[in-house]
Amino acid sequence: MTNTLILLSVPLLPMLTALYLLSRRRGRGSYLTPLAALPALAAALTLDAGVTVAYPWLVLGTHMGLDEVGRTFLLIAALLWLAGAVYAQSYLRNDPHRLRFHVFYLLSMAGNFGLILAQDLVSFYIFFSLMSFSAYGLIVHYGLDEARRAGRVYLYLTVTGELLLFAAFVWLAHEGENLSFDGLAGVSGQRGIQWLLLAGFAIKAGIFPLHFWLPLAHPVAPVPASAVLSGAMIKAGLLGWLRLLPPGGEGLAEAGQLLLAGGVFTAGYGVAAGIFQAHPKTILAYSSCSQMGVMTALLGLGLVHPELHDEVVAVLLIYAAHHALVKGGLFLGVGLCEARNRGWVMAGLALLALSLAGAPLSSGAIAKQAAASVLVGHDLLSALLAGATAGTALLMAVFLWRMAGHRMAERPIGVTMWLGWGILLGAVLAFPALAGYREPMSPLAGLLPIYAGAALFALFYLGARRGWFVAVSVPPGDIAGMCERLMYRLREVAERTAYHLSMLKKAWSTAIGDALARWYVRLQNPGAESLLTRWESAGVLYLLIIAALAVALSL
Amino acid sequence: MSWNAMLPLLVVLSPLVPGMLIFGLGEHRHRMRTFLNLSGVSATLMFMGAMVWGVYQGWKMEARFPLLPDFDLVLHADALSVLFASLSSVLWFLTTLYAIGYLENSPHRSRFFGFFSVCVASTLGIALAGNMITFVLFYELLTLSTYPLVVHRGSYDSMRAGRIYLVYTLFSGAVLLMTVVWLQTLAGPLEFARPGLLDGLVQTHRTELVIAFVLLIASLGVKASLMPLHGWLPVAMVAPAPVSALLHAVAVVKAGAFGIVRVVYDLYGVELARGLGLLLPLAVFASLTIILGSVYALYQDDLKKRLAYSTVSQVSYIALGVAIAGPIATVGGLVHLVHQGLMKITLFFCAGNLSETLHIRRVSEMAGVGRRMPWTMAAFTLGALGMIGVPPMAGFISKWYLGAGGVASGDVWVIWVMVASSALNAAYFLPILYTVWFRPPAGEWRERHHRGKWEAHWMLLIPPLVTAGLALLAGLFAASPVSPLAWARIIAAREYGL
Repeated sequence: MTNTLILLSVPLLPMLTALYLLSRRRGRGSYLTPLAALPALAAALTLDAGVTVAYPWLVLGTHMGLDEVGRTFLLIAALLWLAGAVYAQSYLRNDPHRLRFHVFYLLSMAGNFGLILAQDLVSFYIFFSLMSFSAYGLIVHYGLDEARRAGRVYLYLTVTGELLLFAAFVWLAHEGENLSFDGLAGVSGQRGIQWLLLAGFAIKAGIFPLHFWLPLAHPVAPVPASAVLSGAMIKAGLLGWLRLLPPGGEGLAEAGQLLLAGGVFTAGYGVAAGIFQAHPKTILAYSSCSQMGVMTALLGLGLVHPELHDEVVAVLLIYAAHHALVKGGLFLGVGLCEARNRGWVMAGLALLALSLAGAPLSSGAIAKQAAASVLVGHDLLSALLAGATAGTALLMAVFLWRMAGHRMAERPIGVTMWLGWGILLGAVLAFPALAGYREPMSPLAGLLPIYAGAALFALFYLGARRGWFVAVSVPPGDIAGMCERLMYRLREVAERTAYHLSMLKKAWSTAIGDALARWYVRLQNPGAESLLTRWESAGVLYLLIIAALAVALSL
Repeated sequence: MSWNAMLPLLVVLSPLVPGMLIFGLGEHRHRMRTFLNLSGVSATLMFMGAMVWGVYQGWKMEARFPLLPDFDLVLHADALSVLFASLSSVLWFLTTLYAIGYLENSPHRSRFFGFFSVCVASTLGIALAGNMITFVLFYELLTLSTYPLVVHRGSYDSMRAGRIYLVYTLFSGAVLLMTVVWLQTLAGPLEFARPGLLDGLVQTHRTELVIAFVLLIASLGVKASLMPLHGWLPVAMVAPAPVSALLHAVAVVKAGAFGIVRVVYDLYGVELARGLGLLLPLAVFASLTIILGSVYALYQDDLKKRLAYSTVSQVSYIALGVAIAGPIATVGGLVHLVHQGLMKITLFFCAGNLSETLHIRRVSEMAGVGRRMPWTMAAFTLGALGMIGVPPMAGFISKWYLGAGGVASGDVWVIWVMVASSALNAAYFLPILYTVWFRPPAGEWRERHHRGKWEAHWMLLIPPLVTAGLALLAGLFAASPVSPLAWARIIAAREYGL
């Protein structure tokens, strides 16, 4: 009973809090937002795996529960949302739209927690949509031109993703009855379904070429929202693949190869596009793309080699947890750059950046080592992983460099911002102890890629100083501009077609419709219509119709 | 006459009698008219409740009045008729409330409410009709009783709309009547309760059956606004908001859609219709209407016109579900009859509130109106999200079942129709939501009345909130035994003998 209550309150409490905030004027009560994340933390820490609730009458039959994969995702998501909510208390203290922010924040939080607990297609889809659509409110929060552009691009891709997933889910559940994830193994053999799932979740996970909303949207949101977007929500795509592509299914090797290729490419592409960015938050967003690429590639490997799948899932959990905490911490740190003791902030950021790059004894080292352990025997992939690590080190160095010169609009720094950041920083520092060493880690193991990254950065720095890259400019969101121009062109074509169609239609309606109308009017004397609005005449006419019918029938 | 036989008759008479009395009332007798309206509504709801219970229990409820040889006026209640009749009576109740608030102090109210009641009586008659002849009689009565409602304002635009409406509907009504009489001479009385009625004619009169089917669907398709016969609907949106609401959500378009359901399931039967190769063309026409209606909606700045084209598109979901003809798609089509009604009436109520309270008729004038009318626009948002198919709104359930039904029958393309239509729905509804909630207001609001305690007159505010709530509940508790979905499943199970 208690277990059920805790489980239910995980998604419900944020929703109820959002409703409560809506009923209050001027955003009073936003201090409740961090509290709404606590049930998720409690559930992840205390509940046994296997606790489930099923409500067959809810929507199309709802099945929620906690499993081992869900527990890790929930724990990390809870920490991030909690830290962000604490941080937001001071960060948005003077914001005129504070209430709106907290409502959207709570709704996205409910969606994120709910989709982790969902154990059937429809519930997963509901919470996934709730999260995606509410996040729009976070992205456009400041309402500036670039926020609106980012919001527009985000919405286009999110709606596309929702539709692809809708198609995939309906196809999967074609019996019309709801399907639990347990029953899915072996169902997803259709190639069409697999492609839909790959593309639908790739949008959320930021995999090339569907990634371009991410470097636009993550940076423009308020800092706490960026942290949860890039740390927690982005992982929903990964979780979706884990849930819906059970290993060993028919034709899954091909899907795995696609994931592997897309992941490897994105891992490199994120670095290559990220180093040319000026804004620190954009660099972090590209780094998220790159890191998600690594995770996607690992998942693909597990699908290509089903015997490795269990091991891959364990590695992915560690990797995802590490990335979520570190990336959340990095984003929250950026918001503190105006603090008086900026030195401490930069030190903290440097620590986080080193962790992300996999410096020895850090959370990153654990994650990279775990990843390397499944890649034993895959020499090419091992080399690529080392390359990605070096690339991350380079990207983080560029980030710190850009950060050193970065100024944000004047904002008061409140104590809860330090607190929120401290939560994530603490979690990152404690991570190696909590995740546990799998095997004795040599203190120098992770150093080589870091050195390589540092050397690359030295080269890059030199080049930037000498103006080698003047000709290279990668706009934030790289191919987004191209896609927008394409959309614009398509829209033009559509509008022109619509214009021609409307001309055709006009011709049709003048030719036939109006002819009929004219014919009808000629038939009537001018008073006939006003006569029809009198009820007696309606009655008489009706009787006439009945009489005509009677005559027709008796013939 | 037994109680069971009385019940269908009582359901039809309970709006008709107050309607007739209202015609006789003086214009100023506001209270008496409201009393008559509300007593008619409550009587209908009460009888409907009894009827739902009866059908659930499997009572046989039929009122039969022989008029001519082979020509009985039959009112009977089966699961399908109860689905439509209960939707009509519930929404009629809310619309009456809304109309009383909306038309306060406007002229010709007796005429309006009189015809309004007759209109609902004929819709209930259509729902409960037990054979084609009865169906046609009430169908014609519906045409005649809605015309005065469409032209109620008497302006040039509304007279033109009324004229176009009459041309379309009278012409199609004549075709319908002719076809029914023709079919009856071939097959005898066209009772819905006699499955396999036309099966015997397949060998001898195959061509005639095909032609009759095409004529029936075409004439019913006018009211159901199946393209290319939809022209009257976007024009008729000049009618007062409560009329548009009822026209679009229940009375007229649904009468057409319901007729299509009757013809396919009860007159021809799924097997026969499929055997004659008639269902695929119907599915194709429905799909084209779904897509093209939404495309037209994209280009409308007038809010009600955009909603009207949205109706054109959404009503064809019902025809599509019928035409795919599997148990799951049937559930999707039938449940959309209810779901679309709830969502669309919400949207029209809200559009009416905007124009009645703030003179807002165009999408481009709606910037920031969410701050002035948060409740109305919250209801509108729920309705719009439901139309897009965002879960857990009712529209999601319909689309889910239609798509799954398509796959189950081997027609995977249905999923793509659903996806394309949802994308288009999002393309014409999401910009409205953005304008409403995220844009700053352009200037002072043009308040029509002095602003009272609420954001609008309470009679205008309650109905959309109730219908939006119902649309949410219908989706949220879809799998529970008291949802429209559960009822649609019962119908499908009985139709397919599962």
